[in-house]
Amino acid sequence: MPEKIILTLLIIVLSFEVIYIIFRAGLFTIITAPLIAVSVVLSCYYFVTGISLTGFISLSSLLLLLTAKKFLKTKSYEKPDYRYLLILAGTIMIHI
Amino acid sequence: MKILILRFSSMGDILLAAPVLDVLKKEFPDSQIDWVVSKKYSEALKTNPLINRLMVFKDRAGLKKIRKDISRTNYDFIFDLHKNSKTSYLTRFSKNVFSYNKRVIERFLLVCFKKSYREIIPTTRMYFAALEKAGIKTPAKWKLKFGIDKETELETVRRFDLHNTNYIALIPGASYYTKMWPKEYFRELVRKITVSKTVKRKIFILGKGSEEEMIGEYISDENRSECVDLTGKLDLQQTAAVLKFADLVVTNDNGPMHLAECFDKKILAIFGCTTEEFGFFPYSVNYQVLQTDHLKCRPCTHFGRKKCPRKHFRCMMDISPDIVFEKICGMLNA
Repeated sequence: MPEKIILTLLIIVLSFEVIYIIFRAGLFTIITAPLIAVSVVLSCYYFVTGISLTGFISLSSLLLLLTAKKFLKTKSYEKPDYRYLLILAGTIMIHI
Repeated sequence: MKILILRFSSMGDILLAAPVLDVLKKEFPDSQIDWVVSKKYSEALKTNPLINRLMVFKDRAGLKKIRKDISRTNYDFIFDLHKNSKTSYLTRFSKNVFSYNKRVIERFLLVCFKKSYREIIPTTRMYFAALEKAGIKTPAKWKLKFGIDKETELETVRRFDLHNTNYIALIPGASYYTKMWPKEYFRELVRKITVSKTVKRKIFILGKGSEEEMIGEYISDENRSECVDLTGKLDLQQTAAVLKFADLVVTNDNGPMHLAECFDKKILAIFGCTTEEFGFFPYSVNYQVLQTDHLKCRPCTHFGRKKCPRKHFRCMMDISPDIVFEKICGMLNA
């Protein structure tokens, strides 16, 4: 169950980032940080309840995404930071 | 041969579209050319001798009337040089409608992803593309034209003694805030010009609208003897007459810049949030453009904004009055 919620959250994050890039409405990118944080918490819970390799990969990819969100953000009206989008796409692939 | 041109606004775009009239008249000397324009900008075309009928509309009802008129008249060619929902409403049941590529996708990629255009095409050339679609040959070079009424010209020349005055025309206004060089900078520039020994000139501030009037008042406040604030005091014809005899025109990216282009004036244009890709540089004359190249947020829009989305407004703030003054010296002494 948590995996599905995490995947849904990540897809929402991706949609919001795309909307932000197109319309440059700052709220959409601000809101993604707590969504990723919630995913990390859920992944943490998933990993602690039943320790497994997939749980570990999920948690580490989400932590990487959170770090990327902090340091590789797309500044308003500048070219998008494709590295962050790539990490986000990769994290979604892992969770699929 | 009956030809219809659709370009409703704004002043700069209309002036940039006007060369299609020369091309059409050359190709079809006996043709009747009509033009549909919004009432606010009709002044830009009123004196054009190549237009047989200027169809002016103010609101939706006026547009409906024109639509009926178009369906009654059998136009051989309709050139849609505006290409929006209103023009498609007008031409929905018409044949032989030719429009141009607005480069919407390229514009989107440039503004959102900063992906530069493969080729920069001046706006007039983009309008020519509509004519080429109809099989009409277009020239590689063109000239913008604006007809001034002789009486108005003489009266304006006499009123401001333009023939015996060396002056610079300043146009500090624009349709959007982010296209305007700060008024404080204009004021400093005026001070520099008036005290300089090398480029000392009289200054005429031009523009229309209440905001421009406030800016003009602010700029001319300190130097009333050498700087004449004409914002809001002249109509388009008189403005054109003042521009016609100026030594140099210092302007933002606005309609009067293209008006100055009609008289082969030296133009120093200051571009803020917009860039060359959009095709609005004054290509047909001796011009220089000042812009901040190193900013990653430019262009933040293709037409301008009410405020800087990054709040620093560096695209304009980084162009200091010293830089502009230096350019003016270079252009006047060249």
